[in-house]
Amino acid sequence: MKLTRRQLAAVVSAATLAPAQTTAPVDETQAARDRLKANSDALARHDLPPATEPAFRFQA
Amino acid sequence: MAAIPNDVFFATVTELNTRWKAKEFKAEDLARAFAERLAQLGPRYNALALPLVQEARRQAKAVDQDRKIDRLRGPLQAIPYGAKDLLAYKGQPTTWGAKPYAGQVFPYNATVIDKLDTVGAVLTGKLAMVELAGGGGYRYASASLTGPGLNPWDRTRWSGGSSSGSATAVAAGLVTFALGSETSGSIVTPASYCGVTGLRPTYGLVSRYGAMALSWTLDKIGPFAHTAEDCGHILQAISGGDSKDPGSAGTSFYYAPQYTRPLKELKVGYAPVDFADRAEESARGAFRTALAAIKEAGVTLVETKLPSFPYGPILSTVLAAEQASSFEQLIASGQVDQLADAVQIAGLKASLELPARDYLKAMRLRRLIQEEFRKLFAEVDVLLAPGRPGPATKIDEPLDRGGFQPSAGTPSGLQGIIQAGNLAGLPALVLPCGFADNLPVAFQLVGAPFSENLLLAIGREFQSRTDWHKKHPPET
Repeated sequence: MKLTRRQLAAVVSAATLAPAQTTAPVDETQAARDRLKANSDALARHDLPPATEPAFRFQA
Repeated sequence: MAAIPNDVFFATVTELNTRWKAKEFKAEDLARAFAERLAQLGPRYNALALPLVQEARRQAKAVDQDRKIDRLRGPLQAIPYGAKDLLAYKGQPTTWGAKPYAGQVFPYNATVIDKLDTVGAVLTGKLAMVELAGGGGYRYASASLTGPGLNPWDRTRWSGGSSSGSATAVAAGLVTFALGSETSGSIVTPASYCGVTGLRPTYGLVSRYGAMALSWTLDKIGPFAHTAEDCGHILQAISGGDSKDPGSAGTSFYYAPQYTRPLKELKVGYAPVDFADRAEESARGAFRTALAAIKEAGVTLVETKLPSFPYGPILSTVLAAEQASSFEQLIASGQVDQLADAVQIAGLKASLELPARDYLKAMRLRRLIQEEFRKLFAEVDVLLAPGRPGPATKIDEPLDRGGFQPSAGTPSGLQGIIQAGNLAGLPALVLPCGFADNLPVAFQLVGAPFSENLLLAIGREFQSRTDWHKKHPPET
């Protein structure tokens, strides 16, 4: 595809606006894992009837 | 090139379409005025992803040709609109708000863009968004390729996300309507914070073909506009079955609020605590007034509560599993490190480790949630709750650290209705209902699947009795 100069400038200037980012600090990754674990624990506290199938359809 | 009067910028879809049909102005001139305004003012709010001035004029010219031969295509014909930058627009960059995708171009349009083209609406620009629609979670409003979404009512406040640019552009009169998307709150939150009307449709009612996939079982596309009526017209145009979207319900929507049950027969379920102790103090007055206006519209308010489930953990688990799969390549390649928000990067990386048993447990609980909501909607017709507990947060405020917290022991009310509504695929209509600290606040109506006409009927009646939806921010 061809981009006009204006479109190219919009993309480039938008990209340069984004703050520089290095890899996520280790503690953030651990915090994210901890959140998943906390969610898992919350789900585990709920018993389910064995016949309950996963939800994939939505009906009126 | 004719001059376009300034009063068009906050006019509704139906008003503009009527004036265009009456030949007050050409679609081409209208499109130019809006597209240039969006290009000029959009960056002030970090709301613009891509201007489409020339493309809009070309499209509008064809619309004017239609008028010459009386080929009228409904209320959206000639109306300028913007699309969240997660919707593919053929041959133009579609960035998903994220640096790793800054140069991404699709060779096709999203179905919703094609549908709006068919009815003669004119796309004037792509609108900014939180990167990857917030997948992975994020701490700061700055989690976007275009910078933090600045609220047009006060640029020191957040516009809300992830459909930041969509809500902002409507609120600031940069487009007449906009398309956004919601996985969990991305229409409800920015509509509430920016003071515009927003509609989250029932899951499956609007095709997501050509939209970025964050969560296949949660993603929905919906409109932002000035009124409930406009949202109805837009939903009619963009809804319908689509074989290219596996989640499509195969159902169309015809906007016909006049055929819903009379408001005096409707039971609206709410929890008084949501509008009092669970609301920020500055917003309580506005919520009280809104409740009175809803009641005056003729509905019966009945106290209710949500079925008891851990909605937040269930939604987070479903989302984590699906986003991990959707963005596996981004994460595994290390390009995820180019995102702007450290919490989001970490969240996406960790989501790859989610056990399948957790995802399936969450999806099975979701089945029970759907069943419980079916029972609840046998008792009440609609649920009513604040869109957000208060006005927009400050732009540099951490978003993942709780925000407003009611005092300990406060009853839960309908807390979790955003997550619950998304898990059950329910439609929601956001209606501006007043101001707190000079910023807009709104409430949401949530209904059973495919009950959009009922929500819109209530919204239309509410907006005939109030003028909050007519307020717009000063140009700063």
